[in-house]
Amino acid sequence: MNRYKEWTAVILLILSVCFLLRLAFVRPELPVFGTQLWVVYFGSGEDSFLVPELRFGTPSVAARLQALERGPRLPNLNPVLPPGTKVISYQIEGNLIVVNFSRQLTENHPGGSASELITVYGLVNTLTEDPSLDYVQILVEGSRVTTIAGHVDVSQPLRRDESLIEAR
Amino acid sequence: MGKKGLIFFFAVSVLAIALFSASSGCEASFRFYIGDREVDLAASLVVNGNILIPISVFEQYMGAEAEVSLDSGELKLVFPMYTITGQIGTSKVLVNGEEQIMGAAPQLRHGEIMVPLRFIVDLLGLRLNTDTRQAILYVILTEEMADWIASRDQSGSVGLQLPGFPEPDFSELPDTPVLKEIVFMGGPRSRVFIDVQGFTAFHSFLLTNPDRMVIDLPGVELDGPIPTQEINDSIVKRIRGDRFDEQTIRIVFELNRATDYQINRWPDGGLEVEFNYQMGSVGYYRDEEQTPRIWFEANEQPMFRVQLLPSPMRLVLDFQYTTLLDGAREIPVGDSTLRAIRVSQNSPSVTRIVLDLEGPMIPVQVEEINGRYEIILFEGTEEEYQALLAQKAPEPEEPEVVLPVEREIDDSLPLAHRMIVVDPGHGGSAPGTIGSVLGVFEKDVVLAISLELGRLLEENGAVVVFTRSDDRYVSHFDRAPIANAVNAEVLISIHANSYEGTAAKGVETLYNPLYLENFRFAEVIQRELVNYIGAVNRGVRPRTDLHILNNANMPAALVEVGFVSHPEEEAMLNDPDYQKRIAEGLLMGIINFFRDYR
Repeated sequence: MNRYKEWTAVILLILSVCFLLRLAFVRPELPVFGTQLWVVYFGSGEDSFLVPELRFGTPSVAARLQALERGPRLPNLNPVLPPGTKVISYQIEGNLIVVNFSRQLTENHPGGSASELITVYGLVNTLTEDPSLDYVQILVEGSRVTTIAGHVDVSQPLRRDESLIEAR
Repeated sequence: MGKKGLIFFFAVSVLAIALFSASSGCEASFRFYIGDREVDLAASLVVNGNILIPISVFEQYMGAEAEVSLDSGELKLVFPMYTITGQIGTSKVLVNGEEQIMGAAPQLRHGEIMVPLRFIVDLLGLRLNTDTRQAILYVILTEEMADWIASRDQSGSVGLQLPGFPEPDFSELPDTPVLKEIVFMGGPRSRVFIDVQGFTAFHSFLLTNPDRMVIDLPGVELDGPIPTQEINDSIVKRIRGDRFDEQTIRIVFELNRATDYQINRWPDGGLEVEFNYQMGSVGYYRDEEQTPRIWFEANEQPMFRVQLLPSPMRLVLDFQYTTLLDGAREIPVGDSTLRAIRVSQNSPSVTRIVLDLEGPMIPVQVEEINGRYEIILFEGTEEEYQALLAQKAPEPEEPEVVLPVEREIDDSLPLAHRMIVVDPGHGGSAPGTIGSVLGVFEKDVVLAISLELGRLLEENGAVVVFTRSDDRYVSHFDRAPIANAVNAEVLISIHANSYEGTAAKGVETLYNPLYLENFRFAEVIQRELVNYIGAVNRGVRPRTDLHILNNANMPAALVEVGFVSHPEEEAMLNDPDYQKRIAEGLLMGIINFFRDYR
C-alpha cells in the first residue's frame, strides 16, 4: 500500500509541475492585424502638410468626423479644425457629404493660406477616405461660406487633394 | 521494465505532452513556393502536424480577399468559389455557409493570423508537395487557379495593404500585453482610459440588474491589483476589475443605467471607453418669428445625420453616440408643416428623431439655450435656404475701381503703360492672420508692401490699380472682377502666411495651373523675390481652388511673402525696410515677366 501512495504522490507531483509549466508557457496569441485600420488626416507639426494618423475600429462617417473634431492623438501633429469647432450635422447625398460646422470653424481660424489649406483638405481628405464619398461641401451654421480664412473657395463641393499629403 | 519504471515513463510522457500542447506550436523552417513564386514567409508554425501560414499570403500569392476583425477575432477568406469564415482559436469554419473542421485552429503569431495551409489547399483542389530532404514545400496550382492569380495580380488587388501608408510596427510591442492602470478621465461621455501596454483583444458587453458594462481582456497580465474606483458621475458609479479566470482579466463598470459605449483602440495599445451622450426630453415649438424649433436635453451637443425622405415626407435626424433616457415616444404636433415627432433609440448608439412633415423642412443651426439644445428648422429645401441666404446677403455692389490720375509716361520705361492690379489681401474687418509674437496684422503688412510696390511700379511706367489702398473690407469675390474691369495685364495678390507652431517660414507663390502664363508669372515672381530678400524658397504651388486666381482673366499670382507665425519672420515683416525690399523683389519679378514673356 505504501508503494502505491508513493507512486500516487510522484504522479501528483509531476502532474502539478506540468500544470504549472503549462500556466507559464501558454500565452494566448492575440488579434493584431491591419485590415480595420483607417486614417484621419492632421497637420504636420513641422510644416503645412497633411499626415495620416492611424485609427482602429469601424470607420463610420460619424467616427471620422468625431476624430477630426477631437484632434490628433499623437503629440507632434496639429488639429485641422480650429479650437472649439464642432460638427453640428451632416447629410449624405450620393457621393457628396455636406457637413455643417459650428461658427468656430471660421471665427477661430488662425488664417494664412497654408493653414487654411490644411483645414480644408484635412477635412476633405479624411472624409473622402470613405470609398463612397467623393465630394465634401462645407457649411457654417447652415450656410455656405465663400472661404474659411480668405483664400480657398469653399462655396462649392470640394474634391480630395493628395498633393498636400506628406510624401513618404 | 518494472511497474515503477512504467509509471515513470507514463509521467514523463504526460509532461512532454503537456509541454507540447502548452506551447502553441513550434516554428517551422522551410522554403515555400506557390506555383512558381517563392513566398517570403514572415512566420509559420506547425500545430498537430498542420502547417499554418499567415492569412496575408493567400491574399498576396493566391488572389484571395481576406478580412479580419480586430476586435472579435473573426476572419474571412474569399476565393472565387469559396468563402471561408472562421474565428481565431476555433477549428470550425464555415465554407460557403457549411460547417467544416480544419486540422488546426487559426491563431495569432507575431501580429499575423495564421491559417492551416493544408485545409485551404485541399479545399481549392490544389496539391501540396513536400521535399523533406531540402525542406521545401510546394503548392502546385491548377492552370485555372494560376490564371486567376495572374489576373488578380494585374488588377493590383492586395486588400490588406493601405497604399501609401506605413504598416504599423507591432514588433516592438511586448508579447504579452500588461494592464497598467485604469484612468477615469470624465467629461460628458465619462471617458475611461484602460492603459494596456501591448495589443489586446477585448470582448465587451452590457448586463442589466444591476446595470453594468463588462470588458474582458484575454491574455493580458496584471501589473498589480486593480483598485476599485468610486466615480458616481451621471453615467458611471464604480469601476472595478480583477482576474476573471486563468487567462482573462475582467473590468466591470457599474452604471446608473445601461448605456451603450464605444471602445477606441489607441495606436500604441490601450483602450479608450466612451459612453454615449445622454439624451433626455425632446420638444417642439415655434418662436416669436414663427420659426420651428426642436429642442432636446443632452449633456453635450451630439452630431446628427440628416435625411429628408419622401413619401410620406419626413425629416430623420440621427443623433450619433447617444442613448435616449426616457424611452421611445411620439409627440403629436398638428402644425401646418409638421404632423408629429417620433423619438426612439434606433440602434444602441443612435437616437432617432423623425419629423412627419407636410412640406420640406431642414435643420440649419443649433443653439444652446438655458442648458438645452435647440435645432432651428427652415421650412423649405436646402436649395431654397441657400437661395434665401444669398438674397439676404447685402447686394453685391459694383466693385469700386479707382483709376489712377492720367499722367505723362516715358515710353522707354520697362513697364510703360502696363496696366497692373495690386491686391493687398484681406482688410478692414478681415485682419487676415495675426502674428505670433508681436501680433502684427496681415492686412497691415500686406497693405504697406502693396502701396510701396504700387509706387515702384508707377516709377517704372505702369498704370496701377489697387483693389484697396486703405484699411477697408473688400469681398473675396470682388477682387478678380476689379482686375477684369480695368483689363489689367497682370494681377498680383499679396498675402502673409501662417501655420501652427513656429517652424514654418519662407515665401511661396500660388497660381492656377490652367494656363501656362500663370505658372510663368508665379515662377518669375517667386524666383526674383526669394533671390532678392534671401528668404526660404517654398516654391510655386498650383491651386485650382482660390477664387481670386480662378476668376482673373489675366496672368495672376498670389504671393505669400512670409510667415507671421514665425517669430523672426514676423519681426522682419513688421519692419518698413524689409517691406520695401519685398516690394523691390516683386517689382523685379514683374519687370522680368514683361521683359521675357510680353
